[in-house]
Amino acid sequence: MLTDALSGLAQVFQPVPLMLMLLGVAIGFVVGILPGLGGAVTLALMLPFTFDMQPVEAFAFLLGMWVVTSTTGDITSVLFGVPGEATSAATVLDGHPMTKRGEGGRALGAVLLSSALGAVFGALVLALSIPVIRPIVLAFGPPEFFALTLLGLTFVVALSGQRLLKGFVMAGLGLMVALVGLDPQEGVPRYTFDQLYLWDGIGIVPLVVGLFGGAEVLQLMLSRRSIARAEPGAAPDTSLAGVGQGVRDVFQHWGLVIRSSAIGTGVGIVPGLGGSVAQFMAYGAAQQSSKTPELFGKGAVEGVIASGAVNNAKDSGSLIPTIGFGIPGGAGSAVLLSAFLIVGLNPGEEMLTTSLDVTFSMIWVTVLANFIAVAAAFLLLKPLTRITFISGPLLVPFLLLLLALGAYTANNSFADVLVMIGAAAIGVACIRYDWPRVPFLLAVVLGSLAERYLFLSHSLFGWSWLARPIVLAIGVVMVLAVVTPVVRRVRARDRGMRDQKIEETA
Amino acid sequence: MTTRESTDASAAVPTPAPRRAPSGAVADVVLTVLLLALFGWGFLEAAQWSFQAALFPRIVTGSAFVLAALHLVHALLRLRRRAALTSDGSADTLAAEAEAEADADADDAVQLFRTAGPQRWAAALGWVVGFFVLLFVGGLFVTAPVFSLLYLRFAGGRTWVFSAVYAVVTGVVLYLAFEVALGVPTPPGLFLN
Repeated sequence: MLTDALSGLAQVFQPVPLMLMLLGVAIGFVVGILPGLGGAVTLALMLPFTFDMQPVEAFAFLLGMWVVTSTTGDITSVLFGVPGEATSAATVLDGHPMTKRGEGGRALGAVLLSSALGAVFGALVLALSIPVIRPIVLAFGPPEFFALTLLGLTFVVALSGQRLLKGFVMAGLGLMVALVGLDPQEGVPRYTFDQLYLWDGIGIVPLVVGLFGGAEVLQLMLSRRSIARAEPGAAPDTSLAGVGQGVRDVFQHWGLVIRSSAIGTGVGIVPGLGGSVAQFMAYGAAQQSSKTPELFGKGAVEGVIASGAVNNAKDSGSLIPTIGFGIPGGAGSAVLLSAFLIVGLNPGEEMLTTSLDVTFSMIWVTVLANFIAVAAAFLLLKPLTRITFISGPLLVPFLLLLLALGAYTANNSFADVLVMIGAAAIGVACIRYDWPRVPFLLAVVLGSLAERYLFLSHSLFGWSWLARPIVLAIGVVMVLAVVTPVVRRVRARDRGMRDQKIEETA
Repeated sequence: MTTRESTDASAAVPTPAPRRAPSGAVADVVLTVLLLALFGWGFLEAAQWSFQAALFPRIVTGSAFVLAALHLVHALLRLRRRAALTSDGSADTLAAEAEAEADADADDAVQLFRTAGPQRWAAALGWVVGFFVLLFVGGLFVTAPVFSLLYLRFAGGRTWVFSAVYAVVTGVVLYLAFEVALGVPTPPGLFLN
């Protein structure tokens, strides 16, 4: 195996694959920053260029591009509150508030370094898992997948803190939105109001862009100030000092990086769950384990680190079932699967035995491409953070155009722009009246998956699937996720009342 | 009115003037009633579908209806508690509660959306509506320069020259990125559609 690993590395460092990887990284860097143009779309657009390439060349180009979009998608999330990718939505929650406080450099330093470390972790797991892929993936059936979707939702609702009930109601609304479209079993149109556009359901990209980006742009229009604010009388802090702090933050929270990367890789392995789920699960877990959970959503660097680490680790995770079984973990790996077939590789036994060097070359590309992208991003940090101190009205036209493009390019439909506007209205109302947005978003993502896996579970096992060990274990984690914050809050209240009584008697 | 002012007023006047319930508490009730109606409609609508197609929607809308009803009860109790505090003359308690709420939501966006006056809201929403109407009619490559020019000149207070340069640069960058380099379709507008 070591020989194959070294052979894979040597193949990546040949001139042609190396140049193609750099080209892929450059394309992925730009595409990741542009909202709405996801990694999967870019892969699909670039796939025809790989027809005449050797396997290692094709993967250097495609993988180099794909993994970088996850990293750079976080940049717009942090700076403008507009997610570059649907999978960068959780980064907005804390990254953008940090930018508003003038800590954009620190947030970017933290998210970029944690992304790079997450990529290394994911690649390491991918390399180590090669001998044991089959039993791991086979242990998960529809009941376990269903339990995982509920776990993701529970984690996020638990994020609502004191507004737990509101979180559940918003999750209900999100699930209802997810139900819009043709019923997957019988093709019955549900909540479509006889509109053909709604038969396909409501797209996640316009929803994410509107829910988070729309509210931010309106805020800029109302305030007419820059995104970031310096202390009165002080010069804007666009120095790189904050970046160093962000890097130190990552090393101080190394356990969080490993845990979030593990969640990313784990969720990435499960076909169909996708990066958004992984990000919110890691974010929820980070909040639950934090000593200052109340800071989450208001600019907690731990939230930024968790979101960054999980994003790249999940890409490597989704390669595990793709390579092992030919089952893509998500849209991006589904396009990669096509690339396997185009260059004449068969997923499964062949990629784990005779073509193991090619498989290892893919692992090396994921690591190298990430480090190149992160290094390039660090070089560009100063001008990037300076953008956030530009006057608000100057940014508004550009950001409005990005919002519209982000929504439109998902399906090339103006109806998606209307969905984005509706989502923006929901986002503004949520902020104004203190209703949590994240449970709504994640419920939309998970709704169709949950329904599919529930049906499969019931069809295959009746109700006996509820007693399966992994399902039970996930159930226990779900209960803990809801109960722990409530218990913690009650304890804090009791402690406060006790302190007050002591003060009164004194 | 600041917290300090309200506290002083309650000290000077023995029976405080009746207060209106905070807009957040009323909004909670209104929004919850709307959601309750939506979930109820969703549940009833599912009756028209087959068992398989309706099962998951009924589980979702039914559960959401119950949760929204619970939240409505919670929100109404909160309103009633506030009303009781007002009639008891517990202005200090209310002021402290309002202060605690303000601290809990010490977020720029929340404050901005609360405090922006109707004129600022109307102007901002007017520009947004104008942008999307222009996008629908004229397409991206018309909207990008025209909207940039007008917004910067009239809302941003920049000079005509600066606005024009910005407009041209934005239009050219978007054209090069989306049309030339990536070849990704963009909103074409009503006349090219």
